[in-house]
Amino acid sequence: MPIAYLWSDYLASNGGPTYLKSMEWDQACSHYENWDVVLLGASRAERGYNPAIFGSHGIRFFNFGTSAQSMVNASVLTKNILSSACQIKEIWIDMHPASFKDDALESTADLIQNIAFIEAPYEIAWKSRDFRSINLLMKRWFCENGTVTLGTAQYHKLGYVSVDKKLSQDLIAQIPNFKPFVSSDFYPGKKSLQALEEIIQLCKEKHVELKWIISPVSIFNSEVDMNRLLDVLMPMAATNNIDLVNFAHLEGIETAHHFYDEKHLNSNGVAVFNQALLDTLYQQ
Amino acid sequence: MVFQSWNFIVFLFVVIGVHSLTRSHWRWLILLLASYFFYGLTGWAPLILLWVTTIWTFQIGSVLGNLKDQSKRYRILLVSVFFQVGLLGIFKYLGFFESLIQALLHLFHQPSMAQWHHFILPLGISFYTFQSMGYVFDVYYKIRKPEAHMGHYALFVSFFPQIQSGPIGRSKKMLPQFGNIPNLTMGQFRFYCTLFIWGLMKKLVIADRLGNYIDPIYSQPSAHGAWVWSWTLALYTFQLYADFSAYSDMARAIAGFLGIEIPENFLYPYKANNVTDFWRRWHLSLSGWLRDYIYTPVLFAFKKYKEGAIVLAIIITFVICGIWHGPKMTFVIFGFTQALLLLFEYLTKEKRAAVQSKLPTGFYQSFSVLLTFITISFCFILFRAENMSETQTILSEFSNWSMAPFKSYLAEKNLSRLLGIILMIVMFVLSEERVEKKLRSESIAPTWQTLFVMMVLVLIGIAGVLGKDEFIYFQF
Repeated sequence: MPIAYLWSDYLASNGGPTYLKSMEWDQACSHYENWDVVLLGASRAERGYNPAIFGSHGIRFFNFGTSAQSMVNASVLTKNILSSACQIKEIWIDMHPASFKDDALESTADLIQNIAFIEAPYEIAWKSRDFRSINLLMKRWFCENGTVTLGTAQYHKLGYVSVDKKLSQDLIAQIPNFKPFVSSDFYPGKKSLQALEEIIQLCKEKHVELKWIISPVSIFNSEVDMNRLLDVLMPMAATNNIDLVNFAHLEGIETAHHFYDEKHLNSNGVAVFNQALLDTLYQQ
Repeated sequence: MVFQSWNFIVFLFVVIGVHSLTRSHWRWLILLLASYFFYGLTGWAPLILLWVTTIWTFQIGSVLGNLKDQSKRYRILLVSVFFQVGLLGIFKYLGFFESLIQALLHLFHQPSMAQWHHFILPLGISFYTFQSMGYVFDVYYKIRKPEAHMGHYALFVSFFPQIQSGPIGRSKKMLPQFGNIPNLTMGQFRFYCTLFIWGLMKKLVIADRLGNYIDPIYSQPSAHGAWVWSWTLALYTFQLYADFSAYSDMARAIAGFLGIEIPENFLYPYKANNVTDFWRRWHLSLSGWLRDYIYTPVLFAFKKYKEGAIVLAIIITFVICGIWHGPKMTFVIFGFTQALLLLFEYLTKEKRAAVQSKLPTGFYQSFSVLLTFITISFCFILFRAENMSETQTILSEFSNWSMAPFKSYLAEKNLSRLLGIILMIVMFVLSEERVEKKLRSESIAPTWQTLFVMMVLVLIGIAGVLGKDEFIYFQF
């Protein structure tokens, strides 16, 4: 084991939902030749789209959302997913300001440790331009046969992680008097926007349809950040003929009942949101 | 009835008194009656028009909510938009269209038409029309279910703290608050008191005092020269901001006293580093409305034209933004100018980024902020001027860069007072964000808060300009 690994305060364990979905994708892709949708995005994607709901409408759906997945890492995943043996009709990306921050070591650490694609960890480490990523890459080399910690998250099939909790009483008490954020330093990062351009190009080359989805947000979400992201995304979507489905404020979704924390939908929220998404896309 | 008048203060005390004695789930009724009383003071006709808009949009919302057929829903949405825009057009823009037709007839040497009947502009019609149209759009886009409670909806359209000049509220945020209006905590009460006093200070000490230096120049626009006009334009930019943000703060505070949260309208716009950024910070409730209900649908409707869709969406959005402000050609050109500036920034994004990478960050940032401020101040000529000929007069003043008129201006206005004005603006710019963040946090000690309010009241007493009733945005 390299000494460098011991120095780092930023480690990701081998295992967890990313490990499981990566393994599952390998098998699923070889088992089924055609996939309707592969979803990318951060934890809001991982916990916000239930492939079983889409599957019940005949849509073969794989959720490749991973914890804190940045746009830079999403572009590497897109490249690898589109190079897989199976055919993919559509790539969906769950859009949120958090994915557009250029510094994304949490996601990098998780993916370097757990992703099954052979070249992806090297590219992710290289793109991060951070010594800690190289360190994690070394850990991956040297600990390939180490123990896998599967964690306690409720991992379902096809990449979905569900959370059945309700919003804490503390947060529910804050809702009536919550003051929206009006100030923010957020602007979509340059590297992230370049990565998004790469994803668009990759999808065009492979004739894969790209859709951008904004899943419901709670009352605690920063509207300022979301609007700054939309200012950039909308012209990109329009000029590249990409569907941008904005369900940030969806009828029937309430912070108190459909979220389990400030950012993530609980399973009740997922059911409402996924059904609305299906209805909209069917109508289209 | 303006917020800073004694009549309004008495009215507010009565409403707060009755409101606090009423059960929380019936408070909407008190607020609705108070809102109709408040608006009814402007006359029966505007009140009836408000009722027509309320009933119409409520019914349209219900119909849209129950229909599944998308093409029928779309047709009903169009009918609703035409009806509301038609009402707004009749009451606000009839004179504008008449003058356009007269100008065309004059151009083609045709005899003039007989003058049309002109209606008196109902107070706040642009604001409540957009607010209720926003509700219809929200139901159409399935952002919310149609409101089941007619009383809550009527209050949403007519809520008195915001009916005169906004902020334009969103149904998703406002309507759920009316069902059960909570009691105010002591911390909230202190916060809203401070916010009200802070708004009052911006109005009386900054906006109205600056007005004393701006109004005489605009009333006699010629023979001042470029230096006096540059100074006046800079002052007007601060005045407009101070006046409108003062109104917004006071409206938020009054709504807050009554247990209702309404949106903020500004995000320190003089710190914008380009015009696009300026519109992300200026009149947020209107720019957000335009982005969601005009820019986005137009952009995606014409997306097959790629870059052309962006050009079209920006031009349509900002021309509507200009026209919304009033039935004058100056506003149309103001909107169009903003669209051109935004398009310029969009099309030169990469080149500007390349320049930015070669310059020190601090320098580029400061230069961008200054350039944006100058550009916006210049565009506000169109915003303030009565007509195009006044605009041309002001613009022609920029051919005279002689110092003589400025020297006589300095002699007339007293240099120490002008330095006082500069100091006041600098202090305001440097402290505003910090003060407002402190106020918003609600965590400041009551003693500090009381001391702050006392200081602001003393400032109002010393430097406030009393007697100017109107806010600039009432005309819109």
